[in-house]
Amino acid sequence: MNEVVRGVSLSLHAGKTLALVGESGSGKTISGRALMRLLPPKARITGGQINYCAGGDIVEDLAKANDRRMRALRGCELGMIFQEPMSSLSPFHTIGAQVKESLLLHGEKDERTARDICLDTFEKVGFPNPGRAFDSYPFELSGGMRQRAMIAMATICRPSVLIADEPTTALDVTTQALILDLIQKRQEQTGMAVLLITHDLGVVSNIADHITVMRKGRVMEAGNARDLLTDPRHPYLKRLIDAAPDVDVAAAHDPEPKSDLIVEARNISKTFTSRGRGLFGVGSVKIPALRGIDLVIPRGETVALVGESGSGKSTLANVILNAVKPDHGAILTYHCNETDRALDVPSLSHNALTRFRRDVQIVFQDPYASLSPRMTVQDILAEPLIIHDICNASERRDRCAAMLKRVGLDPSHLGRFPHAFSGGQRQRISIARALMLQPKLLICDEPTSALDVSVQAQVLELLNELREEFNLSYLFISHDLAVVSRLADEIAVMCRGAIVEQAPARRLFENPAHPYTKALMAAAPDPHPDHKLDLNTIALAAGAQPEKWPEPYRYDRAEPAPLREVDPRHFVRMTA
Amino acid sequence: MIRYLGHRFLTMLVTLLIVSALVFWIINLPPGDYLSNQIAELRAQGEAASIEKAEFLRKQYSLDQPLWKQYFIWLGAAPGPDGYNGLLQGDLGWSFEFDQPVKEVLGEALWLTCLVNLAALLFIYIVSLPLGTIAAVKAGSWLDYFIAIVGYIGLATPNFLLALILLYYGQIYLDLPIGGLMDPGFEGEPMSWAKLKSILAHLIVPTIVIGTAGTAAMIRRLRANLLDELGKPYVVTAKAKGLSPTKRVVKYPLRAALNPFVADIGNLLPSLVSGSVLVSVVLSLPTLGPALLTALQTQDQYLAGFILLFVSALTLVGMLVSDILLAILDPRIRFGGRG
Repeated sequence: MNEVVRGVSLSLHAGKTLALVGESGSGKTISGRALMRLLPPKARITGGQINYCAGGDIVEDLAKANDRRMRALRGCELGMIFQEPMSSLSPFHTIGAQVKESLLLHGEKDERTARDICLDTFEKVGFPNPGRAFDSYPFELSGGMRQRAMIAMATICRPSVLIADEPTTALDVTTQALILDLIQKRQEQTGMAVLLITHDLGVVSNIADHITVMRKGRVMEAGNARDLLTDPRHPYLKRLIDAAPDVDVAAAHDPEPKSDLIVEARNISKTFTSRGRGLFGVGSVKIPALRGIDLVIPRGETVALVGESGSGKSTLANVILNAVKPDHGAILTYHCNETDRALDVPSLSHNALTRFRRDVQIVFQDPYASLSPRMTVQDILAEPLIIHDICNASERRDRCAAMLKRVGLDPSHLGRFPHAFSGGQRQRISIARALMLQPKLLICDEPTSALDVSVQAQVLELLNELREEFNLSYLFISHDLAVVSRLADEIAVMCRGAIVEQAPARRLFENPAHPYTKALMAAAPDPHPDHKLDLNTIALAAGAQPEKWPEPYRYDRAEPAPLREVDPRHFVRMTA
Repeated sequence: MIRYLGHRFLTMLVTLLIVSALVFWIINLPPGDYLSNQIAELRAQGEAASIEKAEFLRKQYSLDQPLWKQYFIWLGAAPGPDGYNGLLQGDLGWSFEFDQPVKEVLGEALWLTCLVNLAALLFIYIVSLPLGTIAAVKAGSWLDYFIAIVGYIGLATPNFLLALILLYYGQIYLDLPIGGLMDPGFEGEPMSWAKLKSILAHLIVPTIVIGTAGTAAMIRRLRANLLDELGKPYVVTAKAKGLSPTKRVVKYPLRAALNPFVADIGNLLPSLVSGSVLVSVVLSLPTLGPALLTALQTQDQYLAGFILLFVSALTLVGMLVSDILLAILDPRIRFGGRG
């Protein structure tokens, strides 16, 4: 038997929010689920009490309550929302049917009344058209709307306790801000106590009244939110606060313009065609993923693409990797050396393409999915060398060991399998694999978003060092401006397949012009309790809808406004 | 939805057309045909009159024409000696072996085949749905292992052996009738209550025999699918709502696990029909099985061709049914283009 959580005490007060903070594996989710007795089948509560006070002086120990009693409480008095709203909702039932079910289970007899209560709740959680939402299926809604549906479902019976397990982690930052605001509003409407489980201190500072910090199944520190965030006592909390990403404007780069470019992309567009439902593909829909992107990567510099999901960042990376062919009219050239002839990437011959692949490598977002669980670290690192037939076996072994050492892992671990490593260590292995061929350009596609904050900082530091050491150029993709601020030279903000603002890093942070950039900056939560989210700025651009932006930035999706140079080398997409 | 159905129906017809061409071509792959074989035999015996009749039949059934033309005549898309007279017009052709029109040879066998296989299909679904669900929900318990063992025995026992065993014990202990699909007295009689009862009693053993292997496989599949679904987050959501354990399983994960279950109808039908050929011979069922066997052995091309085509049509209908059921069950398929 393995003890996951030990001696954790929490107290939730009506109308207040307690944040349970910790990194992955700290036992925060298990503790939260134990309150509702929603533990995985193997888990057991071995000791302690869960005292629930329904009002008045009656106190009930939920740890000893029978299943029947728990079922009556769940969904009625205890509501829960989860991290992934898509997989937490059944794809087979309409939103309305799933939300209504809670009501019908807990006393509501009349279908018609239940529907009315649902529609009313949908309106309260911010569905623009409650009737339509009622009849839609989860896969027809955006991530933010799904999470709103989850919140409606968990709170429709006006529970006294809401447990929110990383409710905004899977959402874009602007959506996150709106959902946090919604949870607070719902709390005001119903007077419920909220237990917010999160790893993000920025989120905590915005809505928590009290904080409990957990690590390895134990409580490290607990108390009033403001006190803890401004004056942390425990070294672990201090470290968490220090690691929390924030934009340091003064430290952001502002490089001189360079003429030695490694990649030059002009007028890159990419349109995907979704298959129609007619007999011969009649009614197929063209979906523009990229529109007229101009982007150059100067040699030895880091260009960052920032944008929310669906903005086209990864598609652009795939085009540059030559994994996806751009539409007609695009010009994409790669310069191996300053003096060498430029290569036209989409038309590379087989041999030239193989050569090109050695020079351009990628690090993926998910360190769990991007390493084969059936290969040892040695096999993973040696594979690129074998494919390109670079050196003999003993030399390969030496190179792998040297590279593993360079990325901060013990070379004696070469024989281990990926599952033996933590997320951060796996990402180091991914980076090592990408560097085995001594590439010139490294594409990093959200390399730190799956990692805990403290690990995130270390991986960014490593990438920074490696760039100098191996003479690399980076195309760095992220949704997080704070992450980008640490190593980007130039930043391009993307929205709906177009670059809406582009400037050298420091100039962008000092003087953001576009409402979407401003919203992204405002939406990044800050652990300092005085820096709350500015919802008005965020709401202006949330949802990435260009037709709703204020003039002169507003444009129709079919016809993006042109990019204008408002300051030297600072481009903004606007009409006048 | 109606457009979808129309589209599916149209593709089904096209598929059937292609299948018919393939069937006709494959049957004619062996050199010679039924009549030329017979003519050669008769000539060896010197029977002039019979030879004349055979020659006449050869002309009558256009066996002297090139293969592609024979195909179109069979189909009814080209004029034969008596004008347009093929499948499209409802003439199924002549069976040389039985010296009768194919329609007469098969007669009741057509719908009896459908009946036997439909019964087997229902048996598979009715038995495997509860057993598979229980095996998944109680995974790792003695009940799960017990169901697995029973299933594997069903999978591993040869059909004809099972048929004999069941017939023997069914007769001794339950007084079940042996062989055939009805009392001989009812054959050719119009349908009546007594005849129906006789058919149902005769149907028990063949249904179980033909259905066991499919049932065992289906239980394993449903169990595996359901086990995957049981671990999904939406099941936790359902639990967090306060749903009772039974309702929780039936309403959410079982619904999702039904997808492959339903999609299998199209695959099950042909394996049932072909699997039942041997069983039909053993149990002397008047289904298409024994007729198909004879027809293939003697190169009775119109008989074999029609039976194969009929089985393909059955399969296609099964697939159509499963597609329609899937669209009804799974909104993601129904609204695939909408989201």
